[in-house]
Amino acid sequence: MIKHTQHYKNIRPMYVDLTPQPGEKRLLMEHVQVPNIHTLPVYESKGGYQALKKVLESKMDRETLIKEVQGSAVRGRGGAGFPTGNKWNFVPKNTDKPHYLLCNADESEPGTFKDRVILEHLPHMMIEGMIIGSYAIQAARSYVYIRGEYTYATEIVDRAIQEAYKAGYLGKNILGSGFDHEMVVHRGAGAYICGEETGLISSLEGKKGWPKLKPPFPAVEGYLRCPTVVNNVETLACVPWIINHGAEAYAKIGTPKSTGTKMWSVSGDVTRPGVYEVENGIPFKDFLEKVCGGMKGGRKLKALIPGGSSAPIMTAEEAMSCTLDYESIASKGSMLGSGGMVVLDDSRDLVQVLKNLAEFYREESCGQCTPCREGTGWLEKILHSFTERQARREDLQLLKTTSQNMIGRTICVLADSIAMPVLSYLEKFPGEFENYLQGSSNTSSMSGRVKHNG
Amino acid sequence: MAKVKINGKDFEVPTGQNLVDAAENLGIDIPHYCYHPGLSIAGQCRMCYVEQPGNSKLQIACNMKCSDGLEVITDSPKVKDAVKWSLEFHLINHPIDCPICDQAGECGLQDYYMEVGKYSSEMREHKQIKQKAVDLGEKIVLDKERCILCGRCVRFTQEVSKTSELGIYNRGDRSVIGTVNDEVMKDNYQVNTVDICPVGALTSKDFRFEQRVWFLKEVSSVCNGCSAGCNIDTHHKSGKHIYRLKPRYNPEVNEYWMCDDGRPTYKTANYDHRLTAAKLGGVELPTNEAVTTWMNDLRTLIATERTDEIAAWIHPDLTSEEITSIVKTLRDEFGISQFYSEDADKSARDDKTVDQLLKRADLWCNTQGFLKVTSALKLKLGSLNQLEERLAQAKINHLVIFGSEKNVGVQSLKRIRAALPADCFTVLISPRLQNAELFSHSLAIPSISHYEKNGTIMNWKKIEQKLGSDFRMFKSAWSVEEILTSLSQEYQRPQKEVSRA
Repeated sequence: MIKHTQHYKNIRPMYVDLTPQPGEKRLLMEHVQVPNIHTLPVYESKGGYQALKKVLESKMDRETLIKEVQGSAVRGRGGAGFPTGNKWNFVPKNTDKPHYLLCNADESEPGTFKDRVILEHLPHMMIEGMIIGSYAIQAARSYVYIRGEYTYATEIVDRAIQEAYKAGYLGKNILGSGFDHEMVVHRGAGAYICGEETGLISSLEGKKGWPKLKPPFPAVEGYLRCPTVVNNVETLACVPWIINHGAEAYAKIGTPKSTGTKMWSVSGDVTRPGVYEVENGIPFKDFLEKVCGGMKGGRKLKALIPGGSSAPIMTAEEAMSCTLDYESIASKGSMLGSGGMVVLDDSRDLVQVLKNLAEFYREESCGQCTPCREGTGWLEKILHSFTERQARREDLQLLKTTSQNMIGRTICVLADSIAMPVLSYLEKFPGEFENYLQGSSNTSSMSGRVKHNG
Repeated sequence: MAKVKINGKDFEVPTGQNLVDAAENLGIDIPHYCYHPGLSIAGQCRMCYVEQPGNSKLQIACNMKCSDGLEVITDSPKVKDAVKWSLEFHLINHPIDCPICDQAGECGLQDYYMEVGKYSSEMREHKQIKQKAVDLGEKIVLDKERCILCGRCVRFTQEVSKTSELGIYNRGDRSVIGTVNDEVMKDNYQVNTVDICPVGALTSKDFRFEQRVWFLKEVSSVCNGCSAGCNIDTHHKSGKHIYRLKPRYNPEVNEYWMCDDGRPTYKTANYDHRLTAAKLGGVELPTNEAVTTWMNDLRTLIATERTDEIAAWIHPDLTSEEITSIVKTLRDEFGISQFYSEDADKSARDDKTVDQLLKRADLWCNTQGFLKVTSALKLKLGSLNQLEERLAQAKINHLVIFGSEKNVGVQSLKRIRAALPADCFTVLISPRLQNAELFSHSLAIPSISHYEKNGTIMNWKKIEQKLGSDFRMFKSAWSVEEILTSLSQEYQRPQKEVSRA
């Protein structure tokens, strides 16, 4: 076993209070507080690997298995919300090429840290889900692509995989079913873009983490040009529960289109930031008050970023009237995304927040497509001119046009991930920008900034 | 063939053809930078947007293959606006230093700026600062600020020359092209990256700052560097100076590329290397007088039936027409029977690829044509050794040398020079000054260089290719055919009896 953490001192799990809060519904996190749940014996004592046994010992038909997952209507928890069963179903049935399942554990979106809880506390749940998923798509090998900075989690996952090998859940002829499967941990090297499905594939192939052109889609031509499924950690962790309790039971939880539960990582101005699992469809108001303990210091909610930093911002009114499911959040012009919730109170300066985000996306743009490579930098510079009180009124329109010309114009959605927030901040909080224009020392279009004709 | 609809009009195009190419063939220009038909598809410049009915998202044409029912719009306001902004994104961090940029006049940014550009830029921020004039070795200079990161050069070294020497380093708007540890490039096909670079990021050391491209004219020819016969365009100014060679597309021979050894072959055609006037014993004379002088000596020998004392040296860099003309005039008309040449059989036999790409071991450009013509004419050829032997025996009184303009021929000429008896009348017909200096005591007649020739050469695959030049650098330099025709006319002209000096 590789000691991933041997070079690091004082390595320890993420500090997060995992005590269940009123209003939570825990399917995945049910036993998260059990001591040593990350080890195989404890996980097994809590019903672990029963789903895998159910699938392999009965040699469940792969079609039936995929139908079961489709029936649960579980959607990808990484951000895009694509139905998982359908994704598995896209893998061609009759190819000579090997198939691969990749677990996307490159959790790097600002505000998102829910996968880390699974990786550090429930690695076996994810591994079980991965083996079942691999069985469904006939993958003989799967990879956990784990964020490079998650050193402790890497160690835990690696240890869990070794345990699974020893127990016969991985390796040759698993549980006498004739199904062989290998699982490998791969550490990222610190690029946000490698959490993008095809960027992850490029990185895993040993190339620069540049997203790939689609078509061909990964299900047809992915890792090493073979059929590949990339699933999020949380998505895969849902699979054992679905198999154990049945698709119907899962589909009954949540709303008809957003079934099951969702893990939310909450940060910002709330009394109890942390990771929570709630049934899809609960009102945000209840979530904030009951689960997160309300706003910190009794301050007022100003804005909400619901699904990771790339999700468009919501006003307090929009947030308070929405429920936590894909559709309701989408109806407010934002997205559930990865469930990385950032709560902002009325003391927050949203232009500073947006500039901070723009800096992140400029830093992390891979530089492949021109609109993103150049546009992210441009947006950051314009926003910088706002915070430096050098902005002109025309810059409001320029921010808008630049963003509009970045959306949907690139190979992956990193450009959209900053352009959409910019548009939403401009639309929903124009006053914030106005404050900076009022105080701006720049009245002419030329002063303070270099003008280039071209 | 596939039935496609572009801008509402129906067309039939080859199935599977790339949409950018298909449209170009139909006269519809889809702007693009990263797409190159000889490389894989990157889809990253985001210039080739097209609209598809029923799809609100713009698609890129370079990732589309023509198939039945494909319908795209390339000129809708939505497409035009998107392209305009894509170009704007390309330009916001570009230094726009066109007046001092060597690419000006053949720059993709300039071209599309005029066609589809957003004329008034709104970029008022500081531009990204990157390295300029980075030395990539003997052949290329890189300007990282001008680079638009289309990645063509990177894909070229990965996919064509397979050295993978270039890569894109860093990310976002700090991305730059570079080599590992800033090492110099060793790739023997690297100058192709300069050709395919759509902007002034990669410039060739040989060509940069030499000439503005709008003064140059192109004429199609074939490289004479080896038996590969890569199709090229000769870029010359007013027919007085050749500035560069660029590969010309030929799917059967060289596709889009040529090697770096072929690139400088034009140099021997330029003034410094040329024999610019006929010389007799170092004294200049007009070319027609030189031909007369030659004829005078020849006539004596012919008249006294001493043609067995005359010999001619030829080589496989001559065009098939030149060889034919030499044999027809010297053998068939004057009755000269002794012909010696480089060992073309051996060259053909030993010919093989040098680098699994284009370059061949045989450095003569017309070996196959030479063999074909000489065997058709049933020409008996002697070797260099035999010529040396005959010269040593003083059995040759009159030697005609057709000297190669390339270095590869100099060795043989030196051996001939060493074996040459002092009293042998020698005529050197060559474009190369160095050859004339070697035979400084002889009669030297300037001929035209390879890149001025019209004629046919045959490459190793036995593909016959035309040299189609339309310019002459010097009036005094004649083609081999012209020299021989003039000689023949001189022969037929009634003459007073002239005794041999």
